[in-house]
Amino acid sequence: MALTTTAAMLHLGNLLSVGGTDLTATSTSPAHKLGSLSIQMDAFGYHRIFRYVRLMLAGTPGLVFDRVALVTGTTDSTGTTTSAIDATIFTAGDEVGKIFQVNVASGAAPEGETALIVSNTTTTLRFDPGYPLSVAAASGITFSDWGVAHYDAGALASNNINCAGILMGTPVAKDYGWCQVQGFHPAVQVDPNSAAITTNAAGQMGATSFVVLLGSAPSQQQDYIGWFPMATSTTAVQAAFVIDVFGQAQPIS
Amino acid sequence: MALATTAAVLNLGNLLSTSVIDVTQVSSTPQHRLGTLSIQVDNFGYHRMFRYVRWMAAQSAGGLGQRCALVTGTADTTPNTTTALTDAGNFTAGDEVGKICQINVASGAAPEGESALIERNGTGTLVFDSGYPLSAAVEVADTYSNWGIAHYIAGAVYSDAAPAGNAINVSGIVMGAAAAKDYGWAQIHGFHPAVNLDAGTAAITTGSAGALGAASTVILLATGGSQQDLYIGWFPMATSDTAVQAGFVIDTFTQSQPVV
Repeated sequence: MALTTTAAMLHLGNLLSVGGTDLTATSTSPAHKLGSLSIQMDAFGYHRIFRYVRLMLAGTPGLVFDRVALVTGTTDSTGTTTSAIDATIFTAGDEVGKIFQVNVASGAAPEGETALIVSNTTTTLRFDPGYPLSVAAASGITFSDWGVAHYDAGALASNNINCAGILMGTPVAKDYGWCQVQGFHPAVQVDPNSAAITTNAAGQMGATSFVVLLGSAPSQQQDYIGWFPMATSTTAVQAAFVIDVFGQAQPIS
Repeated sequence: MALATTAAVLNLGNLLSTSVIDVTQVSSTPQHRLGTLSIQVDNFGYHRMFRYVRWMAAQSAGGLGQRCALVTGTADTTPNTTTALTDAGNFTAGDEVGKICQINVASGAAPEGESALIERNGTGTLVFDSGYPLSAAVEVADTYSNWGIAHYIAGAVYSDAAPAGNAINVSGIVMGAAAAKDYGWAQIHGFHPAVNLDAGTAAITTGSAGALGAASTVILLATGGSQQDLYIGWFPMATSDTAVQAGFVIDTFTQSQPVV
C-alpha cells in the first residue's frame, strides 16, 4: 500500500517567511510550494496567517474565493501507478497540484488511495513518482481530483471548509498568489446591497466573492468564516474583518 | 480606495521569540508591537502561545481580560483629513493609540468602511499612521468606531445585557500583574497551570469547558444549547468549588465565534 511504503508525506518542508511584496505578488508559475504558510503580524496588531494557493479565476484584493469543484470521472484506458487516463474531462495544466483519489476500483487496490498530480494534458494525469499508487490505475475505475489549494469565485453560503481566505493580490485566471486565512484584515470586500454590518457580527461568503453577514437562523455554523469588529452601513464596499478559516473546520450544524 | 493603494498590510514583520522574564513583565510603554506573537513550549509539555497586548484596567496574573468597549462617535469639526479625525472631548489622551478606526457611515462614499491605525490621540483628535491613510478625507458628520484590537479591561460574565464576554473578545490569560494601561503578555493557547477561578461557583469537572467569569476569572461553561460562542478553553482535571486556581487549556488563539 502506498500509505505504508511512503509514510504519508511527500517532500515535507517548513513554514515560509515572506515579505509584504511577496504577499501581494501573483505569478503565472508557482514561486513557492502550494499550501505554504506564512505566520506574521503587522502594525495593525493582530497576527496574520497567509497561505499560498492557485487562483483559477481573476480577482482583486479583499475578495474571498471558494474551492474549485471536484473533477470526477472514470478512467477509459489503462494507466500506471503514476498515471491515469480519461480522454473526456481535463483542461491541460488545470489539475496540477490537485490530489487524485481512486474512489471505486472493484474493492481492490488502489481503491481509496491518493496521488499528487504533477502534470496533466487533456487526457492524462501524471502523478508524483515519489508517491505512486500501489497498483496501476486500470480502465474503468472512478476517481476525483480535489483542488487542495485551487480556488475560484465565492458564492453565497459556501461552506467554511472550502473558503480560500482573503485575496492579497490581483491575479488573472490561473495565477498563483497568497490568501489570508487567519487574523485581522483591514479591507475585505463586502456586498453593498446586502444587510448593514453590525458590531461583532459573524460573516459568511456572499455572492461574487464578497463577504456578507451570516444570517441569524440556527444550523449554519459551517458557513461561519469570521467576524466584523465594527459596524458599517449598507452602502459600504469594504470593512474591517477578522478572517477565521485557518482550520477550515466544519462545526456540526 | 485604501484597499487598492496600500495592499492591506502595514509594516509586516515576523513573529518574536521572547524569554520567560519578558513574558511576565509589564511596562508603561510598549516594548514590542501590539499583537506580537510568541509560540513556545515549557516543561509542562504543551505548546504555549502568547500575545502582546495593552491592559486598560489593572490585572492579576492568571486572570483574563475582555476587549474594551468600542469608542464610537461622529466627526464634528475640522481638521479632518485622510490621516486625522476630530471629535472634541470624545477621547482620553493616549488611550486610542494602537486601536483601529473604521469610518462606519460617510454618506455612501469613500472613506466609508475604510480602516486606519491610530498612531496617537489627544482628547479631541485622532492621528492615523500615514503609511495607511484613508482614500478620502473624513467629513464632518461621518461616524466612526475605534476598535481595541489588543486593548483589554477586566473580564466579566457574558449575559444578554452585557454581551462583550464572548470568546472573540477574551484576552487570554494575564501573565504578569499589570497596572491600568500597562503593556504585557497574555497566553492565548495551550496549557496554563494556574488560571484564576471564581471560588464559590460550580466545582470544576474533568474535561469540562470554561467560560469567562466575574472579575476576570474562569468558570465552568454551563451545559445547554446555543453558547458555543462563550467557549474559551477546557479544564483537564477536576477540582472543588472552593479552589481559587486550576490547570486550564486556553483556546482563544483564533478568537473564533461559532454561530449559536
